[in-house]
This record gives sequence, C-alpha cells and structure tokens, in this order.
Amino acid sequence: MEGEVRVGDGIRSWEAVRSVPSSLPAALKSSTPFGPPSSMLEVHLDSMLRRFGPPVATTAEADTVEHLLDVLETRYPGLRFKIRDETGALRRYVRVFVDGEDVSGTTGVATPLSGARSVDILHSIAGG
Amino acid sequence: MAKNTKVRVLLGTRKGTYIVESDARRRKWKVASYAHDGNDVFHVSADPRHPGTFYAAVNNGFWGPEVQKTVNWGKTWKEVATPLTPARKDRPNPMEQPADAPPKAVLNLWHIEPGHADDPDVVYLGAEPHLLFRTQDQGASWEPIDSINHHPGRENWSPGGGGANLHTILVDPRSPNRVYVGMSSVGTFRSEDAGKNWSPVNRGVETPFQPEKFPEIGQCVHHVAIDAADPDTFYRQDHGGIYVSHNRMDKWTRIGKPLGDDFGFCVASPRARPGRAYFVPLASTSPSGGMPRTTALDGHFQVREWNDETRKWRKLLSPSAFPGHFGVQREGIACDDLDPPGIYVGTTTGHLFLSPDGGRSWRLVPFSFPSIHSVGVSSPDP
Repeated sequence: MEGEVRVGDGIRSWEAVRSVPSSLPAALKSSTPFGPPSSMLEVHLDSMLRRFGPPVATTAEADTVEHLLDVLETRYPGLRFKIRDETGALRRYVRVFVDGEDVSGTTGVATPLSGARSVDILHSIAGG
Repeated sequence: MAKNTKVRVLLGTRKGTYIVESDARRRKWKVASYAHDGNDVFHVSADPRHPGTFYAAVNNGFWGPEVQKTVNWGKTWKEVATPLTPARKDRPNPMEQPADAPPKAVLNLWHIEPGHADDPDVVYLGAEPHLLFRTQDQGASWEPIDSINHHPGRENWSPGGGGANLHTILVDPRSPNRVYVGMSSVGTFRSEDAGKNWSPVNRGVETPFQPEKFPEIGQCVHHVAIDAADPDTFYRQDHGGIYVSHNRMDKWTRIGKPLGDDFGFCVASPRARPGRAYFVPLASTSPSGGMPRTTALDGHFQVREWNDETRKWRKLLSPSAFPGHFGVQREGIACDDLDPPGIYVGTTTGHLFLSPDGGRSWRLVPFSFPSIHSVGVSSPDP
C-alpha cells in the first residue's frame, strides 16, 4: 500500500511523519521539500542503534533530519521506529546532533540540513 | 513432533527473559536460556496452540516497545510486528487527532494472550495507555481494537500507580466471541462479539480511593483469573480487595474481607484444581501510615488459597519459611496444567518460589534473577 512503511514483518501505516509540523517556522515551510537538496552527509549511529541500521558510518542526501530518517528507513526498514515513535516524536533518550550541535530539543526533526556535513544520532546515557 | 515432557517457567524481568525448566516431577530446575538482555520484559506467554511458541512484551527504554517471538522454546527470538497507536481513518495524521482518539504513542506492552483454540492464529495484546490490539496472523501484523482504543468514555480514564495499563485479557474457552479485559483505574469490560462492543462489568467492586464507592467504571483491577473448569467463574485481585464472580463478571462478591488486609496484585487458578485460586498477600499500608508498602504482608512470603466450594481461605506457608519484604507484581504468579498443579511465584527481589504439589511444599529456585515482572508457564504435553 502506498505510504506504508514496514517494520520487521509488517506494521501499520505511518503517513503522518511526512507532514509538516504546524510549529515549524514559516521560513522552513516556504518550499516543499525544504529548499535545495543538501550535499552528501556523513551519518553516524551509536553502537546501540547499529543493530538496526548501518554497522559503520554511512552517507546520505537529505533536506531535513526528518527527510534523513526517511532515507535511512528505506535502506534499513524499522530503524525509524527505534528513533521516533509513531506520532513522529523523537524517543525520550535519542539525541540528534547536526555538525556537532544537539538539535533534539530545539528544531528537532525539522532541522534543515542544507550545508550541513554530518549528523550523529545517539542515545543519551540512562540506566540502572 | 516429539512429545514435550518439560515444564518451562517463563520469566519477564527488569533485565530480560529467562526460561527455567524441569521435567514433570518438578524437583530439579535449571535456567535453560535467557534473552533480551537489559530490556524490561513485562510479560512472556506461551501459546499452547503452537508448541514451542512464546511471545514476549519487551519494553526497551531507548527504542520503545517490541513484540518478540520464539518458535523453538526460547532458543532464538525474533522481533515481529509491533502494534502502534492507530491513526483514525478519517484523520490519518496522529498530530491532528481529536480528543477521543487514543493519546500519543504506545508506551509499553503489558500483556500478550493467545486467542481461542478455534482461532489458532489470533493473539491479543494489551498496551499502555489503555490500548488493545489483535493479530490474526500470529504477530505478523496487529489490528487496533477501536472499540476500546476509541471508547467514547476514555477521556475520563486515568492511569493507576503503574500507568494506564491494559493488563488483563481473558478468552472464554467455550466461545472465541466472549473476551474480557482489565485496565488499571478503569476496571473490567466484557465483549460478546469478539471485541466489537464492550460493557463494563464491575458491579459490586468497591473503590475505596474515590468518593463514589461503587461506580460503573473506575475500579483499579490488578489482575483476574478465569476458572478453567467453570469459565463463568472469575477470581479478581483488585486494589480494593479480593472478589469472585460466578456469572461472567456481571456481579462481584468480595471474599477477601475475612483476611483483614486483602491487598495484592496477582492471582492464578490452576487447570487441575477447579474452584481454587491463589493470591500473594501484600501490605496495603505501612505500619506507620503513609505510603502503601506493597511488600509481603507481615514480613514473610505467603500464598493464600481460596476454595470456592467450601468458601474458605488457607495459608500455604509457615511464616518462618521465607522471611523477607518481597514484592509480587500483577503477572507474578502462574500455575502449570499438571495434577497436582505446580504454583510459581516471581518476586521483585528476583526470587522464584515454586510448589510442585499444589501448595503442600515450597522451595526456592537457587538463582537470583533480576526483578521479576511476570511469570508464565509452558506445560508438558498431556
């Protein structure tokens, strides 16, 4: 079915993550997708996430963090659900760094990647 | 297929799934395998319709809930489809859901219940916040049960101390259409049409924690067991005490009052002993007042047996047998299908107590587990 993303042996449709959050700054909504494609990004996942994604650093082209997660999802089905829940929110302990800056609590998945060179997707330390 | 002669106790713990096994004599036990290292596993259930198949409700603090499945008695596990909060068909974007839509994402998976014997591919799953799912293909995909997940009254449902959990699912062995669910701080519901419609069935259950003492809903059911020989009979451990129903939950009668403090979380009823139910008493209050203790009443491990024929209670352990402040969670007790039944109790302190003879004698498995959330059993072939 169009728009359906499958995790493992199949999950329900997950179209909403493609929508533009209403809180997105107007400048970021000016075009769809968000401006010209970025150059090639280097993407690093922490060791815990490598179980679901690339075993080493990979490269990708994407306009926003959200777009990047979509791109990675096509290569590694199921990865996105480990990073975000089904409402599109980043999971509690996930941190996304763009060129070394933590954007998780600010622009989040709407962060534009135009001109960026690297994205790190990490888990914060939590345990006990 | 070779005959299965083993009893397997399936433990969901704070740090993974453990499978502990023995033969039908149940004297010598060993930890046969463990999996899901480091993950919170709220429930592990055996599917008796498919020998060797177990499901685990895994809740990873980092990457969310997963349903894991094994088809070889726990030797290997694989993630199958994970149920997700359903978008309404008329509003596919969850960010635009109306107030009566299920809120936010699936937080935790709480209970996995194999369906009726006539529907061998059906499995039910209860989740948080107050969500019910069903698979009709053994976990390859899950359908949300909208009659619960979009229930008109759910905006008034509130979480209990452990969360907004749908933790009890029971299927009438005489009919796949009759299904019961239990939810924290909401109570029990019954469906007569395989989940299309639900009626609250809490009459007679008191809610000591709110102004209205006998509301239609709002009871904090902790767990319910069905009597295998008489599926009209149910045994209920509620926040407000211990109850029995003999009419498909239409009316509940409190049976725990003679015990004084009849607080607790878990209940099990063995297939081989109709009319019996087992409960683990916990202290509802601290001796000094204040917070509920929710650890072993009177400072020792105890199991109480209810005999529904004589309507009498019996304590199964001496107070000196196992002193300690054990906690036992709602899935913390289970029975096997043998005669006499084995009774298994896992504690929050990581102890696994068991009786191989219907409660006459008790022993402790000599292994310290992580804090135990749930106990399930896979019984030998008859």
